Amino acid sequence: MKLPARYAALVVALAAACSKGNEAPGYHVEPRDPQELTGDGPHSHGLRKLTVDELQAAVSVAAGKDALGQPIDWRVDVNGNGMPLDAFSDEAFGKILGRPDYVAVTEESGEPTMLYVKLVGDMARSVCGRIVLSDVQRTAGQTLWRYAPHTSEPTQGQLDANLEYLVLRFLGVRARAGEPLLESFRAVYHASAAAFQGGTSTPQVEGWRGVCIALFEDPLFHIH
Amino acid sequence: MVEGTQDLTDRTIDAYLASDAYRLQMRRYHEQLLWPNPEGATLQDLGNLLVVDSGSGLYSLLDPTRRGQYRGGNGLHACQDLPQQMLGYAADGLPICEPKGQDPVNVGGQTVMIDWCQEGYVLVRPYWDPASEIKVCAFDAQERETWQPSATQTVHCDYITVNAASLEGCGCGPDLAYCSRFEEQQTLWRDMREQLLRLVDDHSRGERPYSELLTTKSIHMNGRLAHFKKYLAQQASFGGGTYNAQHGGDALLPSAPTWTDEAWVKLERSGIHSGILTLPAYTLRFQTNRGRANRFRIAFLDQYFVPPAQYDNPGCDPDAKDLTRRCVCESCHQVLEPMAAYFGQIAERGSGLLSDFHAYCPDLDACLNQLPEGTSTGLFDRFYFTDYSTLPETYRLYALELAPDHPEYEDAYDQGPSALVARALGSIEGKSYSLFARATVKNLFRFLVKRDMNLDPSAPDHELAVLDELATELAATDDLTLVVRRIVRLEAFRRLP
Repeated sequence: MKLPARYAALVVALAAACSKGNEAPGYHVEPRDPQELTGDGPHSHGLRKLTVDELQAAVSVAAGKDALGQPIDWRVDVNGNGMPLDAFSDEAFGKILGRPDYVAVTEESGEPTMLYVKLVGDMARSVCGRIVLSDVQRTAGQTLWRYAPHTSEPTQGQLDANLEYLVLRFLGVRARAGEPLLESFRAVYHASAAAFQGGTSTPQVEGWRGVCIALFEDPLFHIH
Repeated sequence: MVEGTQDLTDRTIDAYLASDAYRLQMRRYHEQLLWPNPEGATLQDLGNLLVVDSGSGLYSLLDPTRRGQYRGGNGLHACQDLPQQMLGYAADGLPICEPKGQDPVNVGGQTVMIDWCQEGYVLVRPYWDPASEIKVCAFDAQERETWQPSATQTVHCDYITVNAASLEGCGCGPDLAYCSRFEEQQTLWRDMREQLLRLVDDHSRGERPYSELLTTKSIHMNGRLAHFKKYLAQQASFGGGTYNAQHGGDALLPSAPTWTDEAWVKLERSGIHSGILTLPAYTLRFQTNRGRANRFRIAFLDQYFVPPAQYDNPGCDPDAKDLTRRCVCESCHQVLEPMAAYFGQIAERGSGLLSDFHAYCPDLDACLNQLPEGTSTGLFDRFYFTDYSTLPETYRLYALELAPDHPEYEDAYDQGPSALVARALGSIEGKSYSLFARATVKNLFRFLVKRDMNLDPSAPDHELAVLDELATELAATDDLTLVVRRIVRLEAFRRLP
């Protein structure tokens, strides 16, 4: 399957942020134009990725709660004993993602690594799967399709409204229909829905699952 | 919540300061300062390390010395998978050991055949999991606290430093309390880190003065740490592992601590104990007095050692044992050595206090008599410097090795780390705040704003006035939350890259 351009842009953009600090071609990630600077400009910290603590907190905020009211987080059965752990904990992937252990690593790097990108992909697929499982049990207040139906084709207005809502929820950016940022997620929605192979899901659910994964993998989610 | 607003409301900040998120951030802030992870510090001695045979499920001590004492041969044999009741016990209470054969053993270059035997196992509910029974080799599971190998000798089985390892009547004690597995060590490392962070919780939320983080006598303990301190820490030899034995000044422990008791209780210490600086998470992370002083200097004085501009000062001695006088070394060590002396009463490579030990011993016996009968001379190798310049030779703790030439070291040794903190809390000349307050503001600004303060006076947008103002406020209130409150209201805090 051909990856949507935005999926590929994640790897490119995160890796570029690490090495050159520029953006993927044709992909405008800034929510607004930066202020024109003169001289050294105001003192500020540079672009950096979220710390593991920040990522852990951000994922739970964006993912919301499950049908039982429990926060949705990323859990993995690293020990293979049927007892999944918080994947961001040090017992799971916390240290691999870069959280300092204050023995060998005493400072958390602000630069993403390829391993970070790989695990973010795993996280996105796992967490979005849990959100979908919870949302299909809800009759209202769904996390992923709050303003659009998930069992029938949404209208253009419903699609716009839900995309605007999701971009704001995940990225904190007010993007409107027609803007490149929102349109890139519209493309993800349609590509994911079109890839629906049948089964108990629906094309719409798969479309929103794809948007969810793309939002979690988006550099805007990780860089501040 | 704050989008589009020009300022943060008190209500927003109050809610944040009262939240668990703030508590966790302050933990992270102090972790970045103190690196309080003792992982890697050896807390258990080979002499009391239990291992399990994955096939039979039998637990036994791994130490070849103890195995050899129990069963003879080459010291590699554990017990057999047979209940000890079927073999019985001898009149002196020792398990009967069934002869099994002979092992070739190299003794002084000669191969000799040595008999070996195997006892059976007994069922024990170990302290780390009282709900289950495990099979433990009968020698290793012996419960007695003292053992009399002869009519004239009594040894304490709960104090391995008195050579109990070589005596067959000593085992792991009741519920295996004197012994541990690798898993217990990993748990203890986590508990020690949590122990320090609980003091951080106490002093970073405005409930108690912030500077008392470095001086308080309070300590948080759970069942595992109490068990460690009461039993396991006494088992470490003077040679290999870290020294963490209970001494005067440590918090009084419950008479029968329960490993599985997860509840944290607050206890009081005394003597030279001084806040987080004498907690094991700090002293085991920074195992030398120089390391402890240097981390204190970085974290709370914001001062770093840098290579000297000039390497060879006239009159320096390239071979001096005293680093304050050795060429090159002197530029840093003239500052570091006096600071390190404040930590002199804490064991290097350990967290145990040395305050129960004689600082000076006029002879060997005076030093040896400090501990129970049979103490190995490892005590001297570990803690005492032998001064051969006196006749006969005398002994003093290593922290006082150079005290004859530096009487200030002895003063610092006597006062302990709290006196070092007191120096850090004194006002900087011409300022109304201390080095501690200044360093704290700079560190906290860096943590929250994600960059260093701009303290270049030639820069048009320098932040010297902010530093002065916040440090003055911290010195006056000793309340970390006030500094956080001020920093998050700064325009710099809210500025995007």
